Amino acid sequence: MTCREYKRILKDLSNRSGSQDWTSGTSVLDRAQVHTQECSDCASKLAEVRNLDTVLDQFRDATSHASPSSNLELRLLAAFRQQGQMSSSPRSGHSHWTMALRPVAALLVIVLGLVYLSTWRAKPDLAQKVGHSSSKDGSVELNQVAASASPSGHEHSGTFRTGKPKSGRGPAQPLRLPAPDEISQGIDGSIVRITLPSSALAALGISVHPDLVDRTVTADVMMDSFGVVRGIRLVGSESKAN
Amino acid sequence: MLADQPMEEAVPESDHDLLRQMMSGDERGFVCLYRKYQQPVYRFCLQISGSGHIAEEVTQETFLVMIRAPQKYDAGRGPLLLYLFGIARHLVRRSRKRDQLFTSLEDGWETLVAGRSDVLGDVARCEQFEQVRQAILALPRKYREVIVLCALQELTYEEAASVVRCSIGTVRSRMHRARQLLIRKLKKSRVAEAVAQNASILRCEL
Repeated sequence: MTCREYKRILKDLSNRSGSQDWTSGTSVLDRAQVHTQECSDCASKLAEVRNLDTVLDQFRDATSHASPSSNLELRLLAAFRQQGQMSSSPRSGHSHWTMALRPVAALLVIVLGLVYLSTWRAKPDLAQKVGHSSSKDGSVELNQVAASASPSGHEHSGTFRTGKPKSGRGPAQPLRLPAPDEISQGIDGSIVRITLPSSALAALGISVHPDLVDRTVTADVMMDSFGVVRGIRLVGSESKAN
Repeated sequence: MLADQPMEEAVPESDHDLLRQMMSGDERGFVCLYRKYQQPVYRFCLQISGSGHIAEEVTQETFLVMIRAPQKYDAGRGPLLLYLFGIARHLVRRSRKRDQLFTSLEDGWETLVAGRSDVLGDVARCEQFEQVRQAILALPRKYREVIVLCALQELTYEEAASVVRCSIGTVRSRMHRARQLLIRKLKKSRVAEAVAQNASILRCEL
């Protein structure tokens, strides 16, 4: 056996099972013992290791009676009782339910948020639909304006939408604009007739066909006593004078 | 009170049964488990931290973890004692970091050695224990852990590996290195002691 092999065996000496094997004497360990008789260096190393083992064993025995204070058991017992009360109380069950319902509540909030967002995004569409009313009581239909303003002359499908029409949606229901006397009801102010470019309608939430941006639109604007615009009624449109 | 009653000599129930009793709210289960394991857990904490104060605090925390979440213990992964050692090891590490500047390494150990009547008169042995204690505490943490687990708590390499969460080979090599370091440190302290003794003799002669 070489010193290297011996060191490998020595490495295992610290293992409890290893040291038992050492004393019981298997063939490998017998050879190791023979090696210690031949090699003084390895013999001294073995002696050092055994000395350390003895010292550690004595140290372990000296500290074997160490135990925590008796108060610790009482403290822990009190904590155990408290824990038992907490787990048996309905409050604890309630907290379990709360924990279980948390993801559901979070999901609900997300869904509501998405619904609100989609509604909010749909508002411009609503705005586009506004103003396509019949003119029985004197109000003006915007689709008529669009039809007259269209360079091709043919009537649009009832809205000013410039984007791609959404599939599966029926014809837009025209919304009636109130007549001037209805607008002014209950509000102090004045109505001013103005002419403005079609592109300015975008600021009112009404999208305009790109071909119609060079047109001008005549509208009645209702202002309150503070000069704030409270309503607008489209009267007609005409192409800009060249 | 149950805590004041002496524990029965023979404990027929296994740890699993006691733990089940404890989980159903039976105090007896907890008390039996505590009395069975409080000493090894406390001793482990004391040997690894070198502080009686930390050892008591960590022992309390370890059993509190068991009280609060007994279901976390998985019997398939090893005995309950090793699970408790694992918790204690983690807590000692945390607590040593926290109390590094405030905790003296001296507390708790004097009473240990003084408690032994046969050691009390043996000053040389007391000094030797002090040297061993200092040498163990001076070891780097990873070596100290394995020397405490394998040499002082008498665990096998496999059990120590499950506590330290590393391979058996790692435990073996750490143990070997720890022993070498301990031998070196003890040699140094003996030389220092011999030098001090010689110096005192010289002073007396002069």
